[in-house]
Amino acid sequence: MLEILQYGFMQRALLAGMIVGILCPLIGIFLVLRRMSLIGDSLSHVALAGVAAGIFGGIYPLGTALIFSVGAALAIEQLRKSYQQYAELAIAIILSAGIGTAVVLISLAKGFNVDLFGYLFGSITTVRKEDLWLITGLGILIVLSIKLLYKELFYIAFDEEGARLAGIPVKGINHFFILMIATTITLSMRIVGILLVSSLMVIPVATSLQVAKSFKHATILSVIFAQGAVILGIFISYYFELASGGTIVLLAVAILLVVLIGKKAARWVKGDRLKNIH
Amino acid sequence: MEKVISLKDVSFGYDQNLVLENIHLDVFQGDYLGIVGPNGSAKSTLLKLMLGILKPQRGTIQIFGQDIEKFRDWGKIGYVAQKATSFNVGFPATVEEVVGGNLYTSIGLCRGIKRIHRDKIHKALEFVGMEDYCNRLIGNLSGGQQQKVFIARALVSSPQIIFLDEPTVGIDLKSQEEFYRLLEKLHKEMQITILMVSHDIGVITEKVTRVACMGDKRLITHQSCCNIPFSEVMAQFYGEKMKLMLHHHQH
Repeated sequence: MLEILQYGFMQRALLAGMIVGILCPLIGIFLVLRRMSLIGDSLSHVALAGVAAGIFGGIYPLGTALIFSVGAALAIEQLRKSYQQYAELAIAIILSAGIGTAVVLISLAKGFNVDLFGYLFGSITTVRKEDLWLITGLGILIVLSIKLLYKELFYIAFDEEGARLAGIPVKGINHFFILMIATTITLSMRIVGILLVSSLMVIPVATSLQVAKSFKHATILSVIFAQGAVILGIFISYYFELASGGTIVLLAVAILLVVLIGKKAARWVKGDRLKNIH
Repeated sequence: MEKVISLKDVSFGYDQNLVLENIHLDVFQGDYLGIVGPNGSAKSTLLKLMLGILKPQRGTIQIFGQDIEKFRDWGKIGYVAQKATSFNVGFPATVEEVVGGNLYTSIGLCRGIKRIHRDKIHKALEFVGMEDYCNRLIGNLSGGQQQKVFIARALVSSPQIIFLDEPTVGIDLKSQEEFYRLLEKLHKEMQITILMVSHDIGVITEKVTRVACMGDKRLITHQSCCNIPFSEVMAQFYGEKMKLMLHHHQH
């Protein structure tokens, strides 16, 4: 058995990481294709305010973060109705409100402490048993929901008006989807950190879009790329004592670069071959 | 003949300014209705009202004898939007995935596509001559091919009415001719009721069986294209200098 797997905290970190590595790209693919990538950033900043409130009030921080981000997700949906022509404005308003609340709460708690840093940048050594239960339980619920609503979410992402006219209950599914985003962000904080969680939602998807041959293919590939980055990232961050969030995201970027270069090289080789034929 | 759509005394406006006033329109099973009119005559608005995307300020709209607000049988309706082909071309969806989207009413919420649904998708694609493109990414097809895929998407749920909003915008003449032939096939072979908004008056008058002329917040329908006093109607809606020149698209 590998040394890393002998410790209970590393087993928890790896398991939690693998669940997060499935959830983030599964939610991320719909976010990216609906051009809603910034929602991830916005909700993660609100989750920071939730963590600060939890630490300040002595309550379980993941629980308060979940309540804050779900509340913010619902507020975004309401604000989007008030600013129909400026959908991104709703996201910017909630992001500002989130940071503002976080800063005030942190100053009330007399500045940062180690625990808050863990939530900001991701810390695999601090995944507690109750965190793992929450991540596993809600994670299974989200994966099942996406499996069941896969065709509806796909059609809404491709053509929202068309989906409505096909009879899909777009409004209800949109509300449920934004709740899934908020939950995924909260669950992923422990591993990749608040500041980097939206990267894990976006980068593996961006990589998959370079090579995907269908929507299903893009979904599967983005989960594979995210898993690669998370598992390798946890191992590297353990052996080299690096922040897990940063390591995972940098690995996701490295995978993207490899795919981009590989694609260019393949095109170049193909072009060269065609030249030789002519 | 059975009445499938009925608009009674419908008025609609954006920000208090009415763009449609007291519109009456009956569409019957088997109609091939062309809706023409100058820019800003609310042709697309009328279509969106009939589809329930917009709500009228006054009047009633019924589809298959049911108020549009209560209508849920969306499988009976096919729709090809004005901007159907202006989707995100980088979207990684295959032709099969796109067409399958419209099978929602026959598949149901939270259920996956089965073999029977795949057969329907292939049949719809075969009808528009795109069965060989099933696994191709939609963004990699030409405008004309994409338009055929969107027709197949509208057809896949076996609708009784198809709404088309300026379907030939941005498509070359050859593809337009193919497209109109396809609509004729739908109308004649499958007895589908077609409502098509277009600015191409010449083509519309040649192809459709009824014409609705829009302008000045009003709508006038003509039972047969051959008997329309066009110069009169065109002068009324498009201005005195408007002349109608019918031609075939065999350039």
